[in-house]
Amino acid sequence: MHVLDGKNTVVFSSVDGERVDADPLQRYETGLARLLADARNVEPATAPIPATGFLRKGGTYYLVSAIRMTTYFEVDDKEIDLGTDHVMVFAEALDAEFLPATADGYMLPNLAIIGQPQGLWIARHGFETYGGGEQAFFAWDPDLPGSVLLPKLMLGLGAVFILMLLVARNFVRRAADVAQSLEDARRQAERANRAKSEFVRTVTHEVRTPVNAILGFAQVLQREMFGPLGSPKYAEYADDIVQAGDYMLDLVGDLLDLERIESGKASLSPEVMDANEALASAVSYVEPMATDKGLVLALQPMEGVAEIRSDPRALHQILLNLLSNAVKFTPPGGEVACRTFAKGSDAIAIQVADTGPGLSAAQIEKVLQPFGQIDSAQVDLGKGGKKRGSGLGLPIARRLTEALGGVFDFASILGRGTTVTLILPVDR
Amino acid sequence: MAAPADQTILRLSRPFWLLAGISFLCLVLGATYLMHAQNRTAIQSSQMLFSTVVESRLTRLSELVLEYGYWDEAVDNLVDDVNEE
Repeated sequence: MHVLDGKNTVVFSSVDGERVDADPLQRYETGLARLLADARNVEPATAPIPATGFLRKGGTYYLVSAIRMTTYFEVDDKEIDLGTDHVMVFAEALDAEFLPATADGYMLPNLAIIGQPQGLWIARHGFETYGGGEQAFFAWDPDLPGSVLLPKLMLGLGAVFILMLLVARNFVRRAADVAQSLEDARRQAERANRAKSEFVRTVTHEVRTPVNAILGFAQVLQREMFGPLGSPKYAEYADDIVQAGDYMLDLVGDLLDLERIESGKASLSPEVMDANEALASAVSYVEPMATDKGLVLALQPMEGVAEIRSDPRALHQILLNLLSNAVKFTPPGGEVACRTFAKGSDAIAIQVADTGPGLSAAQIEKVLQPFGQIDSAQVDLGKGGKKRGSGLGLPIARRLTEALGGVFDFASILGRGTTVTLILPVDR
Repeated sequence: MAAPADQTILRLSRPFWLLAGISFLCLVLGATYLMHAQNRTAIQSSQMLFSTVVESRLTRLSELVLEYGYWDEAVDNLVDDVNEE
């Protein structure tokens, strides 16, 4: 505490309550004059107002507050007026008490007064010595929760990312294993398919030769080329041998066809042709059989030329399969209707419909598979004899149609008949 | 050397890796930004607290000097020949 008179002479000084020599105040370096002026700059009639701020003395900053003193008092009942220029100044050294106490009390580590703080994460509070003198800062190391949290967060994220990488790596490996297994299975299936094809080709070729021989010799017997057979039973057996031989040859031919189609080796040569002619030609082949059986075989070609792009031989085989099936399975007195018609602007349909026994949905599925025959699919051979078809006709027809770029539509209602429609692309 | 199936799967999963990488980068950037924001908030709070402390200290000093400005004993001390004790 210091008390100054009107000439700014220190008339009293005390430090921590003890009176000291009255000169330290002279060494306050900045702002002191302004502080004293502000403290005195109050009308004498009004109540004094403290002027407060910071001052620096040497390297130490002080909190200071000054006030014009009220100096009226009485001596021997006489009032003495010392004037209004006396000023009392309180100064508190910041580094002696304020900084340590504040740092401890408010947890502000390394609280200090510095000229210019450097660094991103330094908390600061700027101040100026009284009257716009020197600029200085309180600076301290604040609590940084983000900096504490970030390493943990990064650690967590890194762990999750590494875990994700491991899971993904495991997934890739498993997927690669599965893909490899599928590839191996595909190759194995291809090998098996090639082996099967080779087997079918070999067997059919090997079977065809002796069957032809058997058939030839049976026909020699049937025609009694070298004299009468004697007993009628021999003629009957010769007929049976010929029929069985024909069936075996058909079966071998169908097997070869199916194998060629499935292996993609069917030699198709699409060319522009007339669907009406193809249908009429196929119908002419089955007409005698239909007539013998008492069936009505109706042909309804569309008007004009039904020009399509297809393989004539393959289409003939398809139509023969369909027509022969229709004729075989339609009971006497029934009808087989064949027609062609335009299907939109870019396709022509060839349809074969019969009034046969028809098939259920399950039976349809079955007959469209190779060798998928139903129990009732037996052909009456006359004389009480019956034979089963090879079960390859419809699958061959369907695969050939698809190989020709067409659609094979098989519709049937049990007890009412079957309708097969081939939709083939027109020539463009 | 990776098998062809490995290479195919790695090629197919490339967008996934890219997405995972970008996601991770975004997470890191987001976490850094949050850390920065949290630190700034903590510093601002600390500065506000300190500002209040300083203001409080100055106010207390003003009150003290105002009180002592009327102190008779202080006035007594100004006049040595009247009462110096």
